Amino acid sequence: MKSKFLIPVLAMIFATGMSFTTAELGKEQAVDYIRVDNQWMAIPEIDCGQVGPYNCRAKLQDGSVHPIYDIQNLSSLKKSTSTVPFPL
Amino acid sequence: MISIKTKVMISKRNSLVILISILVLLFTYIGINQLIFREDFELNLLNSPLLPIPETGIFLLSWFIPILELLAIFLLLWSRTYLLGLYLGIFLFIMYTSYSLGILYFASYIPCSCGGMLKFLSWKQQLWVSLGGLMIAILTFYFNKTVKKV
Repeated sequence: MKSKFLIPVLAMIFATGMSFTTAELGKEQAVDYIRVDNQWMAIPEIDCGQVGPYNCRAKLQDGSVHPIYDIQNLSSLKKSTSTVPFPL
Repeated sequence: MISIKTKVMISKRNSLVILISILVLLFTYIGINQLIFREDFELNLLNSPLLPIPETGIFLLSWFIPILELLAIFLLLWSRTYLLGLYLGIFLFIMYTSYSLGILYFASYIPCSCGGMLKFLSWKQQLWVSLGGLMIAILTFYFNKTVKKV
C-alpha cells in the first residue's frame, strides 16, 4: 500500500520543479494595465510599436476597447502609431 | 498463477495510482504558481466581475485558495486521508469550472486570464482544463470504490 504513493510523490516533486522553472520565465513578462469599470485590470505587456499620436488600445474578448497604461496611473497612457486595438 | 480477477484488481489499482498522480501534479503546479504570482492572482480576483467583495476579503481569498490546493495535495498523498483529498479536489474543480463558466457566459465583461488558474491559458482553455480535472477526480473516486485494499 505504501508503494502506491511513491508515484504521486514523484509527481509532486516534478510539478514543484516545473512551477519554479516556468515562474522564472514568467517573471520576465511585464504587465500593462487597462481601466475596466473604473478598476485597474492587468494585461500581458503589449508592444505598441513606435510612439505615435494615437492611444495604444487593447480589445478584450467581449469586444470592448480600452486604452493601455504602463502602470496603474492615468498619466501613463501608452502611445502608438496605429489606431487598431490589440486583441487580448 | 495469477487469476484474471487479481489481474483486473492490480490494473485498477495501478490506474488509481496514475489518476491520483495526475491530480497531485495539477494541484501542485496550480497551487505553487498561484503562490509565486499571488499578487497577480489577487489583482485578477479584484478585477473579477463575479466577486463583489471588499479588498480584505480578496486578499484573504488569494491566500486561501492556493493553501486549499496544497492541502488537497498532502491529503491525496497519504493512504489514510486521500479520500478526503479527493473530495476536496472535486470541490475545487467544481469551483474552477463554475467560475470559468461564470466569467465566460454570465459576467458583464471578460477580464484578463493572466492571473487565473493557469495564467498562460485563455478562459475557455481554463474551462476545459478544469472540466478535465473534474472528470479525472470523479474517475479516481469511481476507481477508489471498486479497488479492494490489497
